[in-house]
Amino acid sequence: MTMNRRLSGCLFLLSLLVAPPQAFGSDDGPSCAENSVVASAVQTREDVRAFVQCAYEYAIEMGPEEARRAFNEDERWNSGSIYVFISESTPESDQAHHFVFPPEPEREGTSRGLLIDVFGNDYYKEQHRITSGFGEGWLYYSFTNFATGRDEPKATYIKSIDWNGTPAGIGAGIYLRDIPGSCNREEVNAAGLAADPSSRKLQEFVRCAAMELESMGYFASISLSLDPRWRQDSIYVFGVDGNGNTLFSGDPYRWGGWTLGGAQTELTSLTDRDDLSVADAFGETFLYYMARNPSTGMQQRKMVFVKRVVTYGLPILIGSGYYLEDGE
Amino acid sequence: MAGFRWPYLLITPILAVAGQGFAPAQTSACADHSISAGAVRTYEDVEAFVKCAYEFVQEVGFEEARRAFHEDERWRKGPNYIFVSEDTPVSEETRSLVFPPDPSREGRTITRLLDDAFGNNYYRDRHRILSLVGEGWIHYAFTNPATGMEEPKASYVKSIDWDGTPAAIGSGIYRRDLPGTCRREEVNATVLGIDPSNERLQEFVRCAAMEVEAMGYFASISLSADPRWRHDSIYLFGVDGNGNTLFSGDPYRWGGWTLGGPDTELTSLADRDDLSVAQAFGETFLYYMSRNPATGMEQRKVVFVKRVVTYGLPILIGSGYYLDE
Repeated sequence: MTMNRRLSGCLFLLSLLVAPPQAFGSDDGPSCAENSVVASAVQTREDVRAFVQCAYEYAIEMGPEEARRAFNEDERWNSGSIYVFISESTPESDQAHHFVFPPEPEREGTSRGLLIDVFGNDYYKEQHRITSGFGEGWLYYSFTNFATGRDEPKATYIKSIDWNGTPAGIGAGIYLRDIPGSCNREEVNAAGLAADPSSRKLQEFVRCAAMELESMGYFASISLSLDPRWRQDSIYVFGVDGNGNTLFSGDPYRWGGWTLGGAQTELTSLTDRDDLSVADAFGETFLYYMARNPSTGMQQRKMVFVKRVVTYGLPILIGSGYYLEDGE
Repeated sequence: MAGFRWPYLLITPILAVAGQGFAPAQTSACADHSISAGAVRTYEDVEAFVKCAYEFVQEVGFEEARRAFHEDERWRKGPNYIFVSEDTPVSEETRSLVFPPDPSREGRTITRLLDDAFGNNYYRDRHRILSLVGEGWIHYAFTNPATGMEEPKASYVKSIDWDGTPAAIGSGIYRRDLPGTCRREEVNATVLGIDPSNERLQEFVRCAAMEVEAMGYFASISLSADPRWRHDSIYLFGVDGNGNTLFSGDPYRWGGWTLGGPDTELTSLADRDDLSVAQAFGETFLYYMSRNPATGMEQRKVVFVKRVVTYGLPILIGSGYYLDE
């Protein structure tokens, strides 16, 4: 069986040498004309795919020389941790050349040798396997985030391209802070959210807290309520069950069962709106309401993100939010 | 990137006091993310689409914008379109201003959204949200023009001055892979088999993952054998953290004999640790050669794997479609 598999795999690879691979047909994504994202606006994996599609079209249109200049110099293509790279696609994974590598332009034209990541995966071997066999696709690995200087999980979209006659891959990747393999305490925490609140940071915060709940169940409620990672100044995490009963909360004002259905329960403070059913149906929702800020004691506008988590078979809504200053 | 432009100040004195919205640090103008109706896939896409529409109105004026929102594919495709309606505290007097799916409603007050399937008053909630923060998400139930059915809809709405009238401009997305959707008729192996795409594959696996979350190991019976989850070459599989197959819709893989063997899904690439990668990233696309149970042939396969924690234990659940050679 193994032999057959290997054999057919070899035959398949041989066939690729004869007929150039095509992208898998039925899922051609939107073109750059339909979805154009600049480097600084890349937020999601879908944005990364659109960004790479744009870079690919740009390289085809402008030619390698201008594309290489633009990918290195222009903010449209290079901002923060988001950049376009082009490297050789070859079965000799220890000899793949960098063609465009904006974080370290001095590497261009050189090979860095084998690139084995912390997962034990051979990056260039994978890049070659996907560009030659599938035309384009996702690669997941661990790589230096030049914005933080650390090795972090990176999701990269790679697309096969002819670069001055050499088979290559053009790609870009994103470092996600709210996946099971990241969610680092130093990066995603209440102090970070409080210092510079944004809806993106709020989502990361709640998604990482939700993972604690998924793996630890109700035991997670202790750290989610009390650990300074999850609770700082006006930022706290809360959990409610399907009936709106507060299961835990980082705001001591809401401790105890007395809030059951009362006006002070998070999510049921809007008595004329069924936010519970909505949050349960949509899985992830942004909500906006007036709430008492525990650090000021004042009623303030609050921007809240709620995520549905199923823990030990029971759905729970976990949420957090930040307060808006008046006049902000 | 301070949130609001001049029209906002015209809306009502109350709004002016309530503030100018939160500073949207992640906001990108249409120049940064320009997206047309046909390319909208994610919530972030919807937000970018609405911001483009808002800027378009400022650029070309109400009349041309209204025409374009109705007629141009850039603004209207499939279930995606731009709507504009009055923003007033008297929700029963809200007038529709631009509504491409049914232009006959334009200029008239709308009463049917006063209570949606969740029991929420859409126009009142929207007015409340815009008064509080100027722009944001609203979640409700509404007719999907592409299916004719009432479905959960998430819309991004933004305050706008529409020819002197305080209004909201917005657009929404109907997702098939939410806890409140994931309908058997829409997300199933047959649909994926007929017209495979990465988007459909993601929906299929995400919906199956919700079954595992809710039912735990008991879900493995229906996920392996129910025709919803298994049809021709499409099937689901679940593996534990060591790569042992917990269940599979491919009978060829039933039984413990595949443990660690070369034919286990996800361990077929002996030189690559797809398990750790899938665990770390939560959702991953994988690409490999695999035996197609419908043809018996080794074929290229595009696979999507999602990590689910069920009763405290992480499991990887996945499915894929085969590419014709």
